[in-house]
Parts: sequence; C-alpha cells; structure tokens
Amino acid sequence: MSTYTAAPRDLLSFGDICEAEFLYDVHARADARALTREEASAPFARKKWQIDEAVSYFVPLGPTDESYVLAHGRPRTALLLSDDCLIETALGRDGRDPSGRLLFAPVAPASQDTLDSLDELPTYGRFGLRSDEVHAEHAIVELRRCFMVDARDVAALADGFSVRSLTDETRDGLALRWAAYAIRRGKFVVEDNLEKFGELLLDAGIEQAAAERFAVAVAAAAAAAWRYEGSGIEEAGLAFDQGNPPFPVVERLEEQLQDLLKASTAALDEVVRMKAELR
Amino acid sequence: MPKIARSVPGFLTNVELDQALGSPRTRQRWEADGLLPRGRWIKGFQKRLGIYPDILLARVVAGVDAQESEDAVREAMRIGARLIDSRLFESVASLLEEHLVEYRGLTRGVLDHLAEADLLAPLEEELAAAEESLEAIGIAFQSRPATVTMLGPTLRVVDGFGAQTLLPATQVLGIVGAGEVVTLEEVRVGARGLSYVLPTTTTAATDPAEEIWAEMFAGVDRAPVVIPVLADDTEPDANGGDVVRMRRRIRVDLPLASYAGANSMASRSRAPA
Repeated sequence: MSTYTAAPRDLLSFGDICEAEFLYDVHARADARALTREEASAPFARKKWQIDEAVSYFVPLGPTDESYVLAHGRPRTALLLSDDCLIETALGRDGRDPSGRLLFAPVAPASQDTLDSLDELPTYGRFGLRSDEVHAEHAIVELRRCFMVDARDVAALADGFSVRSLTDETRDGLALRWAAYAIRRGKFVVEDNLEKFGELLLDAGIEQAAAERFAVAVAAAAAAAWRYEGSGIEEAGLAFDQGNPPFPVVERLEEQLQDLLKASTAALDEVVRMKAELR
Repeated sequence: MPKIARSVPGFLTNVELDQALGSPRTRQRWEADGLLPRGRWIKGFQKRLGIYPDILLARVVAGVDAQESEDAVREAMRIGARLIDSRLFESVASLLEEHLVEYRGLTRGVLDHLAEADLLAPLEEELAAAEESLEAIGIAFQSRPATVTMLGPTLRVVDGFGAQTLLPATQVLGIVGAGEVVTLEEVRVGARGLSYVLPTTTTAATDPAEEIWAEMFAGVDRAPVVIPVLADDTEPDANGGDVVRMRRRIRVDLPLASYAGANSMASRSRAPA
C-alpha cells in the first residue's frame, strides 16, 4: 500500500505534508506571556545588526491589546488537518479574501522500530506514515500536538508549501484516527471498545470465536453507519452545493440504508445470540 | 532619558587651524591680510599656543572671497574677534597657560583641564549662541558625536544613528585614536562645506549606539515582569497524555475498505494528481 500520491495534489488538501519557515507546533505553558511589540529604527538596526530596515522587538509587559505571546514550540514539517471544504473557504477559493485559520499536526521522523511499536500498541494521538516509493522515510503524525496557522499566510505562499499528498486510502485512515482522537468516534474507537468488551465476554465464559464474531458484527454495523453518514448524507449536502438533482441522492441513500439494515440485522442477530448465551 | 555625554570644545588651537588651512604660513598671511582675526596666544615653557573660536572655520570653507556670502563670513570673523578678546577666552588662556608644556594642539588633555575648571560649558554656550546668530545669515554649523572605527589615510567614523562617514586624515583636527568618541563637525557657507573631526572629553567606553538602546528601554514606563521559564524536556516521541489501545485477548480490526468512500474530511471532487 502506498502512503503518498506520486505528486502533491493540485490544490492544498486534507492530509498534505507542508513545509514553511513559520510552521511551529506552538503551545502554551504556564510561562506564556503577552508581548508588547516595539521597534528599533532602521539606522539603529543598521548599526547594531547590519539590517537596513526597522526591526521589531518584543517585551513581555503584562496584558496588552496586541496579539503576541511568548510560548513554547518547535519548527516542524506539518500535516494539514483541516477538511477540504474549510480549506477552500479559508484560502479564499470562493472569491473572498483568505481568512481564518488552518489546523496542522506536526510530522516527526520515525524509525522502523517506532512504527512497529505503534502498530503493536497504537495510540489515539499518533498516526504512522510508512515510507514508500515516493518518500523514503518513515514518519509519525502527532495529532495530539496540533496547532493553527493563519490562512492568509498560507494563501500568500507560492508553490512548494505542500510537499507531499496522502493517497485516498491513507487519508481514510488518517480521518478515522483523527475522529478517534478529536471526538472519540469511528473505527479505531469502536474496535477498542469492543476489544475491551470482549474481555468481559471471555471472563463470562463465552468462547473466543463467539466473542470475536459478536464484536466484528457489531463493528461492521458501526462501519455501515459511518459510510451512511460520511457518504450518503454527505452527498446530499454536496448535491445542494453543486446544484445536482435530488433523485440520484435519494437512490444512494436507499442503497446505503439497505447496507446499514443488512449490517444492523447481522449485528442484531449476534447481539440476540450473545444475550441468550449470557443468560 | 540619558543623552550621549559629550563636550564640544567650541574652539581650536593654531595647530588645527593651520592644518585646516594647509600651513602656518597661510594662517599668518590671512591674519596679516585681515581675513582672519589674530588668535589669543599663550606663551611659556618655550612653547606658544594660539586659541581661536571654531566659527573662524567659516573663512576656511569660504576661502579668501566668499562672494555672495562674504558679508556673512566677515560677520563671523567679527564675532570671532570679539570672542578672542572676551573675558571667557582670557580665562581659558590663563588656565591653559599652566599646562602648556603638555599640549601639542587640541587634545583631550586640554579639554579635560577646561572641564575640570568649569570652563567648557560656558565656552559651549557662548559658541552655540554665536553659531545661532550666524545661521540666521547663511552659515550653518552641525555637530554630532561619533566613534572612530578606522584610522589611516582615511578615517571612518560612525555616528549614533549608524551613519558612516569617511574623511581624509587631513580633516581630523586634533589627536584622536581608534575607538575614541569624537565630534563630527560640519560647517557650511552657502554651497560650500567642510566636514572635520574634533576630539571630545567623552570617554571611548561610551558607545553611542548602546546609549540609544538604553534610551529606548528607558522610555518604557512599566514594572518589570519576572517570568519563571519552564524547560521543555518532553521527548518528541513520548506517549505522555495519549490514550493507548491495549493489546487484548480478542482482536477486532475491520479492513479499512469497510470505511472507504466515507471520508468527509476529503473532498470527492479532488482526485490525486
């Protein structure tokens, strides 16, 4: 499975790996302080630092109306976590001026051992990116250390900000992990919860195969619900945005509800069977 | 706000004036011709030293005929002559006479003696008043502190605002050393001008740029804030604060395809390049 597309997507997108001098995983600690900006004149800057322009300097002076803060952070390669719809709006692709902020997560280089460990004991806040034919180094997306960047500055950048894009499959995995970390929903959380519940079933004397069959069926219903919401209902909204006719949407909803019904029926059968066994 | 400490002498000795004119003979001839007033001379220890108000440099700038500015230059010479005859110059001469053996012209030693005797400030005041009256008739004087950054055939000085000026050594009137704080003087008579460097009593340890830096912070009228800075010792790959999905006795791992096509973070209209 490839992690990255052969070339970055034409438009900046969810999951793109980005590089710029101003990408810092800034975060506040107890020593964060509001800063006041002052200015050293151009003649002074020339004398002191051989810089031919006025130079701002910052002084921590308590509450201030200015939006500068002394905080912690490191320069990072970062992955864009905002969704494609928000990116469109924030970057002003709809004709308006760029505004708002985009969400990024730091991307750290990782060893093979680290990725193997993460596979063995995955966490909600980290997502591994394996090397492939496009990029030869392993990396980890640190969802738990995300930070925001002003969209105006991203929009002002020329080409080169996005250095790699994820394949659709990798983006699906990233979205699921992000849902797990951000809102505790989706595949990763469902499966974690059902694995925990499996411990109870085994302790209650249920056979492992039966416990696994039960968990998989219940998880499959959740997956069908995910598809129904993320595809069928999502397309209903998209049809409005794109001025598409409603009939194909209704057909698609019917199809996905049938899938959901089938998966729910299978899950219900397993739940009823388990209920009987536990009595 | 602290200002750059300096003392501009406001006067020259015959050594500097001769240097500005090219030779003692030129000065003597100009004095004989009435172009320059004769200075006040101090004698002793087999030495002689003449002192002159620096406004006489207007004649050096203008030459023997200042043409349309000649009246203004003559006025400068008249004021200069009055100053030479003043009680103030008499006091200066009396004081310097005691130390004449030390002098080879206008040196920091001369200025230090005048400063110790509280004569520098009145001199500056008197000369500033004279310069002001001359500015009204077209003779301009400018003086700003600077630091000597290079000595040699060409002298480089940098003023407190970082502006760099290169001057031939002949325009260094007095004895100055590298790193020394001097005054960068300029006299303009109509379209003609002369820049030159004079020593001051300011010590070389005073850096004009640092003084300005101090002034900038002196203008901040707020109480200092002490911030205990927290060391960020978190390892980049540490799991702290993250929830780990533990390995359990049953494994539930549906294929990613079960969730495919439902990624609402990614636009369906955007295909890979």
